[in-house]
Amino acid sequence: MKSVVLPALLVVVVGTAAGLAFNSARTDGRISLSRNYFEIARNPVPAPDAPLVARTDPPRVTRGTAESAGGEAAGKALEHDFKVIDTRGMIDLVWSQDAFNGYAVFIDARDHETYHAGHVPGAFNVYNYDVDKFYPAFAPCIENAETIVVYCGGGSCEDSIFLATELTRRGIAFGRLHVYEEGWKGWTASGEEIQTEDAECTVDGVSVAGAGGIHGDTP
Amino acid sequence: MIVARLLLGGLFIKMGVSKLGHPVKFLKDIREYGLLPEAPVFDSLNLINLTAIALPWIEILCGVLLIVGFWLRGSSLVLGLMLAFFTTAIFLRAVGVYNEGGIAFCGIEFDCGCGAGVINICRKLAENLSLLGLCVIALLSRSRKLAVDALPRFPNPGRST
Repeated sequence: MKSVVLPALLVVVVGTAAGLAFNSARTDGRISLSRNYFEIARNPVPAPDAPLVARTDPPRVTRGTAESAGGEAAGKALEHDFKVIDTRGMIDLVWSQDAFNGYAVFIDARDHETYHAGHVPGAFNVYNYDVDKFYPAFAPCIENAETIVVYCGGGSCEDSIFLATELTRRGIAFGRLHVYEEGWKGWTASGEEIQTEDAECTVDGVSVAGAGGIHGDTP
Repeated sequence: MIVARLLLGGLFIKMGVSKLGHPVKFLKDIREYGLLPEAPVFDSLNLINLTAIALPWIEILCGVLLIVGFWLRGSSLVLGLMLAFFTTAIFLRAVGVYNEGGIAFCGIEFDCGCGAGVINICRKLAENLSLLGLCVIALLSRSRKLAVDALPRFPNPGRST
């Protein structure tokens, strides 16, 4: 018995150690040991149902579950408290003065390769599974925005909700966060323009990330 | 026995390497089973994350050990236990899908997180049971042909010399 169980235990221990060492050494796809990647933040203060206040026309905003987005329903309904923005509202906001002035920002929660294949114009890429790597460069723009819209693939993709939760843990006020549940699927179905180069984060007219910044891509 | 070792070993190395190439996908697959808590234990260790980090390497290590014939029975035990556990989990998940209605049991397909993409449930269960059988053979067999375990200078831990 000992000749079987002890080696088995050693295999598990050595395998685990190898996994931990490899994980800490990898630059792409590193998994945090402690983060709950699937946590959903709850609104600490129930938000009023008043429409979003913006300097330009307010986007269409609702509250509720992943089923309330309308159009294509989420593959798996995920209850959350974040404000939901639909495609019409998203289109209005993307081309609004608020977006131009940086008061409204958009975050693409998908991985960088998928983001590069096409994303909402002006959206920053903050991959939900590597926030430590992606977020710092865009933090000045995100933290200064009044409206932050997070999206991912749409359909059954839940990463936008998880990333919005992570942003609340990094100090972003709950009420500023919105989830575009229809996501990339909804945007492409609308026929609206798509962008492939990194969006630029500028502070006081100086580019701090994107378009040659963190990702090193040239416009 | 040698064929069982090579087959099992090669397969698990392949599956482990496949998982290493897609760590986030594997993390999400583990979560899909709902067997481990999503919140970290002691506020610092998330079991889903630890499994996603460690499991591919345990598979690869067991695969290598089976092929070279070192700690044969120990690595067979680990693989056998993993197979038993995950086969049960896959079966229960398929039962859940079946109970939701609309699909014949053997028509159910999903990505089990095994490193093989979307699988047909009946085919996967049959495959896993065959692999489990091979593990049992490797576990119970006393053959040490072409095995490092057979060399006198590599004693097995726990075995008195």
